[in-house]
Amino acid sequence: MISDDVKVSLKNVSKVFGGLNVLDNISFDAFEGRFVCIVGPSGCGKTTLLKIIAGLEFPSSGSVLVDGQPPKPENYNIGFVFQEESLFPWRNVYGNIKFGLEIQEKSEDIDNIVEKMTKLVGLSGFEKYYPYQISGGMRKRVAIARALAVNPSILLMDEPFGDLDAQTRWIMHTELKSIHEKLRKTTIFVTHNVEEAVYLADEVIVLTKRPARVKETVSIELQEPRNKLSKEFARYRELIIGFLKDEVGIAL
Amino acid sequence: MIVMVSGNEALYSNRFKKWLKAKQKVLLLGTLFLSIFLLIWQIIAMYYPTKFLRDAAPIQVASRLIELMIHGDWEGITLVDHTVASFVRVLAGFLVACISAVPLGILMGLREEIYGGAKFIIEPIRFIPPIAWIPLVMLLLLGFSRYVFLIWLGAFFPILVNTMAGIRRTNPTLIEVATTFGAKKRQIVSKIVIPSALPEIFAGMRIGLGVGWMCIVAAEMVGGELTGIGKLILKGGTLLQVDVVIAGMIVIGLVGLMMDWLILVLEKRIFKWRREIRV
Repeated sequence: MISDDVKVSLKNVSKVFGGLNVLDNISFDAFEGRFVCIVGPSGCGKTTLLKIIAGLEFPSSGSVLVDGQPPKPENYNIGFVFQEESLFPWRNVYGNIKFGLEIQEKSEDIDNIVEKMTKLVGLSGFEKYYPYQISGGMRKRVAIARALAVNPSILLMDEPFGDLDAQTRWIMHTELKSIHEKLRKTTIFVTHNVEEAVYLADEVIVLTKRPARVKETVSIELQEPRNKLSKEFARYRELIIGFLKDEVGIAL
Repeated sequence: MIVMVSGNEALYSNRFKKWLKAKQKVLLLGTLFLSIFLLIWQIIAMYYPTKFLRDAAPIQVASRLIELMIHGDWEGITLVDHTVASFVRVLAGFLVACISAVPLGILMGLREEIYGGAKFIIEPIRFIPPIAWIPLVMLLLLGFSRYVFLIWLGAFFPILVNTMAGIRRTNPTLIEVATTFGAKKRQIVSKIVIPSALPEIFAGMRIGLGVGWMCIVAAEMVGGELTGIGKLILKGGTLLQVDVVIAGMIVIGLVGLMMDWLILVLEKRIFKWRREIRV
């Protein structure tokens, strides 16, 4: 399903908050079915960029097109996984995954979709558990399942694994990878973790420090399944860290 | 079957023993403090300069309580009758308070301009004690509405303030989640804002019921009927029977405490999801 169709297209996107230049003339395309990681120094405006793609915020200038149209959440074309805890604590796993379908008042078989999504993220049997009863990694899986349940045309992820411990994060990487292989959902994933980006992405976009511009775009061509300990993996990692180093001006 | 039952019994008695052991210190301290309190009361009663309190030492009050329960007061109205009458009035005032304060609190929590406008009326009224309303109530209201109004006054504000605070404290991330799914304003309110504020609304109701219950004496001052636990106190006062007055006060305190405790238990059960992770 990987094709040359442009799924998300940014042209000269800039964002000014008050007098602060956050994003400066950002352009890139994300192709159908690809996994794109955006890396950049902390506070460079990665989250703002993602929210603009989601249609939650608007660019000061420039244009964003998703499927050839400006993104509007009302068109139901976006799945968003947040950095912070975002599950509804009063809903159990089932109720959380169901949420988007409920909002969109879909007439499809909701139970069936929820069941499929629960299985996809490996949480079958946990439907009745409340967020406080499950682990941080499981809560992230629920958030991913909730975003995917509405069958969005793109999946946006904002440092979703930032608050997980290293081990859980490792597991989540493998699982997210296999989910992507199954669904081939165009994904834009923001992180400041280079290893994460190299492991997950087809393409890594490196941003400069604020105001953020696109510094480099790196295509990751590694044999699947990727091996985080391999030489080629390390080479990509060094390359991207090198780009970032210039930006932060300190040794990483 | 029999084995199971006896097994359960063993479990329960075991649990009770454990509970007793855990609470031993608290229970002991409680008994100690209560004894000291009763002793001081006894001493004051014995040496109090006027005779009224001399007839209202702990023992007399206790026997009066039992008498009131079995034989009732001068009109033959028992303690249970009094309590039930008061409870019905408080419940009515409380329900009216819920129906009025919850929607208004939601509205004021959602719309800054409504709060901004309403606070000039609501905030000063909040500090007028229910007793200050009594002359007005006597002149303007009749019958059951007098009780309802005075109790409503007490219960209304805690519910309003808590509801408003709960609505405003909605986690903005959760609203963003709904927005990414294309939720409309109406859906955000009904599916995110209100459910997330429910625990605080409920807590406001608990406090409101408590305050409403505390307004019972003021309400029954103007109520006109002979029943009601507040009325009992007032009657006792006019008949110079301090033991009846204190017995009535004790009942008010205990019933209030019990209501609070019951709702607290209910609250914990309904809002299980709010509990933090327990190991």
